[in-house]
Amino acid sequence: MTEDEYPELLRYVRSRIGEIGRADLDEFAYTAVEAADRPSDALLGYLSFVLTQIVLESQEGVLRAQERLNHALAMTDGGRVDDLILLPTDVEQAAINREQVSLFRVLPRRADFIVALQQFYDDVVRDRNEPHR
Amino acid sequence: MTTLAQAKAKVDAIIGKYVSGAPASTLIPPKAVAGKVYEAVVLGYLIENFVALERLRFRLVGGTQIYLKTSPGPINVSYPHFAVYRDKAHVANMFTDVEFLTLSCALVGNNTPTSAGDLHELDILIVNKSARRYPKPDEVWLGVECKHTSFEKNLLREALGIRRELSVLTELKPTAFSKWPTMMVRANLPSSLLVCSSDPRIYRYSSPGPFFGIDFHHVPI
Repeated sequence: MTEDEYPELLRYVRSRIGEIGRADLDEFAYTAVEAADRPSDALLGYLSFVLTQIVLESQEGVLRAQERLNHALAMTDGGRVDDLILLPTDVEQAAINREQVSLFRVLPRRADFIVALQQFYDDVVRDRNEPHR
Repeated sequence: MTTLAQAKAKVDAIIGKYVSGAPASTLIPPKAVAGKVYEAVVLGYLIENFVALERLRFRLVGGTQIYLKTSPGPINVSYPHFAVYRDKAHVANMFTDVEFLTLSCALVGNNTPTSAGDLHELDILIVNKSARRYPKPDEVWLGVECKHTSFEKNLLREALGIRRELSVLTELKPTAFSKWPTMMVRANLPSSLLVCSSDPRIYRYSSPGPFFGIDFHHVPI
């Protein structure tokens, strides 16, 4: 790919994310584009935000956070974290009929998507750094 | 070298993996969930650095789960939280999603809030071990704002406002910490204030930080 093809690829990624009902994700990730110096930077910024958001709203994010906490706590024998529990407001509790929510239990697993998207991100980085033939 | 057509095919395959996976939870909006999980990431970041650089010890007490509130409130010591030790002495506690009593409220002689404007939330708070309910500014060791969002200038203004309600500007004074995140701040009362963001562009707006005693850190997941 050449640098002038990246805007079309970004438009394509955005349209596909919109098609799966994640306009919210597109809107969030597109904020990364404004400060980009060149089209490939814009695409990479967008992909990076998508990746971060998807990790944090999935089981993979909960596991990463727990692993980091447990690694840090283990340095001083400080105990162990088994789960992250969300405590909704009274109004939210009434709406969802739960007093608390185990994040690991309710969040989806996205490992395959995350691995593939990270690979794609790395491919874009490698491609743009290769001299054009 | 990948062609544009090949890149689009890769995108299709990736999107297919999302579609074939489990649907997003409808219980809590994904954006809200992500912000809460990011708080837990920052908790790990803090403990890593305090253990390595300050020789503090952290112990999770009251359970084995981290409670993350969608709306802040007072300190609740019956929830699991972190006891903070220096050498062998229990010196402080670390809580999530707690409101502190503003300096303006305390300075007019009110020890309890009289309106919503008398309280401000911090995502993570380290306070004197004796602090209860809504901690006063003189009980705060460290306040942390966790921002998993596009980091724009309004977040700098928010941090400056929090700083103002924790302390007044003065000559440099020592914080509760010897090195990290900062040992001196131009603040009376000399609490540390840390803003952490998943967005690397946080540093675009960090220039007032060293003067006003606000540390800005990019904390990737």
